[in-house]
Amino acid sequence: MAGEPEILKRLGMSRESVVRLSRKAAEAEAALGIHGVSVTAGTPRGPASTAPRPNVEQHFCVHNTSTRADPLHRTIELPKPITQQAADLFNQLFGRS
Amino acid sequence: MNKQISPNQSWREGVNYSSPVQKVLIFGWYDGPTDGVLQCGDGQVYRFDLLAWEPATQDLRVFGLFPMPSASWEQLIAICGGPGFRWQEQLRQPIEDVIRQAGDVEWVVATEDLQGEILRVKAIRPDELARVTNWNAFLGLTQEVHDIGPYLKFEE
Repeated sequence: MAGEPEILKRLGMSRESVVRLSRKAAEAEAALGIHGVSVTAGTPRGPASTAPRPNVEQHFCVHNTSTRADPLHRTIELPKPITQQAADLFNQLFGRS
Repeated sequence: MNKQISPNQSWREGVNYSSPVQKVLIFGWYDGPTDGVLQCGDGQVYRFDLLAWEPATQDLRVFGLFPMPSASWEQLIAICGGPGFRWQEQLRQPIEDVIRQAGDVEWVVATEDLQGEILRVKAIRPDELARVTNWNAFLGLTQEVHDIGPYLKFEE
């Protein structure tokens, strides 16, 4: 519905560590050129935690990075290096605290 | 199916061996590749599609490999500009036109890195691809992986 914020969904429900987020962000940077992690604004294939895009964008840049199978794929750009504070904030935004 | 697909030389059934993959064009991504086209060191070209992944981390992934004519790599490079390509919706049709040349599935590969260590490889027939949902059992994996369907599709 128009006016409703885009909801970003990230697969998994568990808190993500600095190490894991750093590894995934590095892989994305090598492949996509963005140091970040994947979310979708579509329907995720599995249990996922969610956050409104405007809330995320208050702290992190969100890029529209459509893919062949998921036109609603997004990449949340994370700082480099990812600090514990940044990881905590990321987890908090997705309700993974 | 295209008749000019070369006999396979790049892949063999086995466990824990170095990937024969030399170059990858990624068309789909979710914390790692989900689909695209790869070229092996001997020039063999395959479309790859995600079949299953480890549910908690998505690190361990199971891909189906579909052979393509060797010339399709250069056709895709001409469209995409080379490895490092980021998906562009306006290129969907020309890319789809090329990858449509892929033949029937030949291999199933379990790995955390298509260009790194290959954990398991097993030959597969098209009828098995349609039937198998338990990739742990099919590949003899100790780590749990969950089937995601024939192709990774996110509904809007």
